[in-house]
Amino acid sequence: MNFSVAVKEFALALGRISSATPQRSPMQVLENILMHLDGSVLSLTATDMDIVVTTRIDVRGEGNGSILVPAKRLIDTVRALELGDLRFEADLGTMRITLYTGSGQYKLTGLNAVEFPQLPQFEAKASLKLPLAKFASMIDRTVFACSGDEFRPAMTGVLFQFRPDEIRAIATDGFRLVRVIDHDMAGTGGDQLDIIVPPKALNLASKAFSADEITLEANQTHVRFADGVTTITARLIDENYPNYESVIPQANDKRMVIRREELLNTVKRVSLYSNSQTRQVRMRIASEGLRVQAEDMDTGGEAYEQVPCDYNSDELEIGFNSQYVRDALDRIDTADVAFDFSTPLRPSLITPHGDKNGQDVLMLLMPIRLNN
Amino acid sequence: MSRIHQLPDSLANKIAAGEVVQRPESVVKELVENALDAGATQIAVVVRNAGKSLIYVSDNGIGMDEDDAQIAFQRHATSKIATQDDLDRIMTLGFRGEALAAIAAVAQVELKTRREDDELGTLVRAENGAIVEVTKTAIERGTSIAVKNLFFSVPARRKFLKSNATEFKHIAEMMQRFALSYPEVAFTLSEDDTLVMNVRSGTLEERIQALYNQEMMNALLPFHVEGEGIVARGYVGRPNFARKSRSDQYMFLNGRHIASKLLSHAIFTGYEHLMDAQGYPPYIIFLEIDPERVDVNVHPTKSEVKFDDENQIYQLLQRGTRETLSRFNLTPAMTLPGGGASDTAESVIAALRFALPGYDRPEAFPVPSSGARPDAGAGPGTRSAESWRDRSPAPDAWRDRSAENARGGMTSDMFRQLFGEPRSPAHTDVQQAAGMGGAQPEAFPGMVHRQEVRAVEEGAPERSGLWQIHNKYILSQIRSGIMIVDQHVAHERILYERALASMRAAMPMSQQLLFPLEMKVAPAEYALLRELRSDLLSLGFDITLEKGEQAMIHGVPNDVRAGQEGAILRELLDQYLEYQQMGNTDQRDLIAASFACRASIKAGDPLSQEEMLNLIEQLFSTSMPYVCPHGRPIVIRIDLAELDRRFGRTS
Repeated sequence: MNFSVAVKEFALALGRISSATPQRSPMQVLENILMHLDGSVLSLTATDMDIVVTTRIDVRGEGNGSILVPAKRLIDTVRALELGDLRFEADLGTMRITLYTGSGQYKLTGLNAVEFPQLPQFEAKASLKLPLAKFASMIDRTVFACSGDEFRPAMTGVLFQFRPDEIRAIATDGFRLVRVIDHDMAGTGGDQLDIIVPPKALNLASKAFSADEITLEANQTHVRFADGVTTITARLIDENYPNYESVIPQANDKRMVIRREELLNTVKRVSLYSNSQTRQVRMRIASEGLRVQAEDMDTGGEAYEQVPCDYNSDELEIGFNSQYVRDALDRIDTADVAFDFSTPLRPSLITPHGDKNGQDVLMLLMPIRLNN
Repeated sequence: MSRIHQLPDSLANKIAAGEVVQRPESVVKELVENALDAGATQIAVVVRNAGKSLIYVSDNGIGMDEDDAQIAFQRHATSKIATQDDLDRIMTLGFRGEALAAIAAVAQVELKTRREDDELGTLVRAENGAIVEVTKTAIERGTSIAVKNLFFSVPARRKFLKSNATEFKHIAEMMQRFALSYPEVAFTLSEDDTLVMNVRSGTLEERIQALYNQEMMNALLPFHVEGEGIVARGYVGRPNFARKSRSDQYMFLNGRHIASKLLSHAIFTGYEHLMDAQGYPPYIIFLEIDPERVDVNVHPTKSEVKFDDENQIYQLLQRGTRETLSRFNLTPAMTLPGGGASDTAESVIAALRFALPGYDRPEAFPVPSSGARPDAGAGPGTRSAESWRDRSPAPDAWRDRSAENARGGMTSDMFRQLFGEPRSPAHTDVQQAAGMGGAQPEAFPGMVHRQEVRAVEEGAPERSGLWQIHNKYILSQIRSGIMIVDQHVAHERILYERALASMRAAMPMSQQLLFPLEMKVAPAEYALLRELRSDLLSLGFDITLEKGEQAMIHGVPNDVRAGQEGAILRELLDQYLEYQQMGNTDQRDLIAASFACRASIKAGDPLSQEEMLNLIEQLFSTSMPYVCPHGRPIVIRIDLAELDRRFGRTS
């Protein structure tokens, strides 16, 4: 099993799959990449058993076959090589691998390909096409809000709801919730499909593809993203997602409209003076403006800033984890945002104000109770 | 005919004697107390046959005249109080006026006494509760009393006496208490012609050395605390000197030895379980309290006392112990107890801070300060800056770290490339003056600038000041050697104090939950939750109790680690009950300890460099960084001297 390939192309292909390889695994065989040569097509596969990533690259091949190559050593080597051509030779009897470069050679030992775990068979129940850019933006706007609580596995993933007229993505960790609705991707073939996708698969998907459009296929247990070169197959989170619609308040009647960037920068500055553990900031909203305030009893630090805003309701004081506020504001792209409040203990909503670029974004934040 | 009649005095005294005189030790106690009340500066005690045959106590006190010497044998005869008011202000040891009468009721007593100004002294002999002889006699100033054949007239009592060894042990312990309590008084104790104790008048410290040895003195830390009209002073033992029994625990109230489980517990908890539940810290504590606020007249032996406000004294002793231990920076060192602990919390943090890449962004690592004293400094950094100047000049920390990195992280050639040639020998003097005499002078220039240190760090990022070992311990170099921190208990301590502060401030920071957590609770848990609800809210757990044994959690403390919210309250309740069974009764303390135990990072959790530094910084800004809230050490130090010794590098 021999082939020649440009170092640069090879490095890029390895880069598309490398993050699926576990750093350290109880199953040592997973620390290898499966290489399969079929004519002039080399396919590379990496898996951590939950996610399988396969990518293809055109090479000048001689002799079909498969071998397992130690992932870290191969990737480190290829990344360090001078640009040019690389010849890969594997003796499938001894599993010795030699990499020839213009100026020298590198020898390493692989493993028999049969030791690689069986990959899941995949039969698609649903299939649709998605524009990559919009899908990636959906991922960026949701993944950050996933929970790390293994006791509530449903919330560790992003819920995708495919409907005839829209696609929704929802993430929540119980302290905040994001709902993104895209109407433009409507009619791309989905039909009442609800899946919970683990964040790792989504992060891979938003990086590994280069085509403008990807396909998404799913069944009850797995989802597959593909762009013709690279395929990502991931096990779904098989849980019931909480009824998120019921917790999104419909009657928050105190609306504050404010410059997004100005508020974001203010919160960044003021929260430097909040307690490093709790990151709590206090917002006092009145018709004359918003006051963002932080204090840290441990160090005696305090800070506040006043930000102009439009607000016409009763004065309100409410506490938030500043990190949550920043995460939310960071992922909205309009110049102005609207905050909709009800009471200091009820959820608040943040939405883009003015121009919407196709996607409906709603960020919900649970406040921090400030006093008894 | 009336069946009820007044008991004759002799019988009444015998009955009273049963309470006052239980064993030879009681006689010694009563007589020595009388001697002390008489202002003696020298007291000699001689016993034979463990006091069963003879107890002889002589003093150089003020003595008595003939009349007083006789009246002393009557029941309720005392010079020490005259009115009810006096009873409320007892400063003397004896006062009930029972001692001599009671002793004379059950033994043969011979009393000799003379006042300074009298030419001749008085001898009074009593037997069976009655005076049988009064004559003049020649005697030194003071009083001596010989008690012979104790319980000769009460054979039943005599039978109940233990072996000589046991009875004498009680006497010796009693004398030891007197000796500690009155260091200014010279005591001797002889048993069957053997001098067992002979201590001269001196200071408390001298007395402790005389009774024990220098090792004991080294094991003790001076203790002083006062407040609310109470003064407590003395010594508490270093935690590593814990005993397996209470034998070295002494508490004196206005000079009187007392046994108080409550106050003993106060000191024990002051160690915050620095020792396990079976350990008893040695202590010698003198309490001075307005006599009106205590009642020592609970029992004739007076070792039990009642206080008007026990809780106050409890708190005071607990606080004093805690302060003492933290003032002496008590890290359990693996060796060399009492050896110079030159590393203060500040110097440790300073060294670590410089060791970390990006240290010069101060906002990334909040300056440690005591959360309990937000008003102590003018602002962040004040406290740290002071101690810095006093104890650990920053430049030293710089040098330490840079030299360290230079030595361990790169060759001197690499160092020269980065920093140029080493400077003139003058700089070496600076290093030596700064305690760096042993460092290779070529390894670093005397003055290192910020950028240079950073260059070192960036050149060798894997060599920073903290290492995590087995995802369990944090290892770090400190000036006196190395320090190992248990990450779980360290975080536990931090959370514990924060939880207590949060409950005290009643300013909950409760992150509200989007999906309230339902919790099914058993009836007992339901009741417990209802009882703890307001404190739990102060901590940040926002709970409502629904009908049908159901609790809803609407909010959690917002420093609970993500992923823990669901399980934590139930674990807290379980832990609470477990701790409660161990005898702790302070509700908030229990909640805080339970919360800290359950919410803290565990052994096995990997930590980043920054997380480790944060942890250490916060740890050393707690009031007691060395012990977790229920008992285990947090920090272990291994002195360089110990390492040197083990490597055979003795100098």
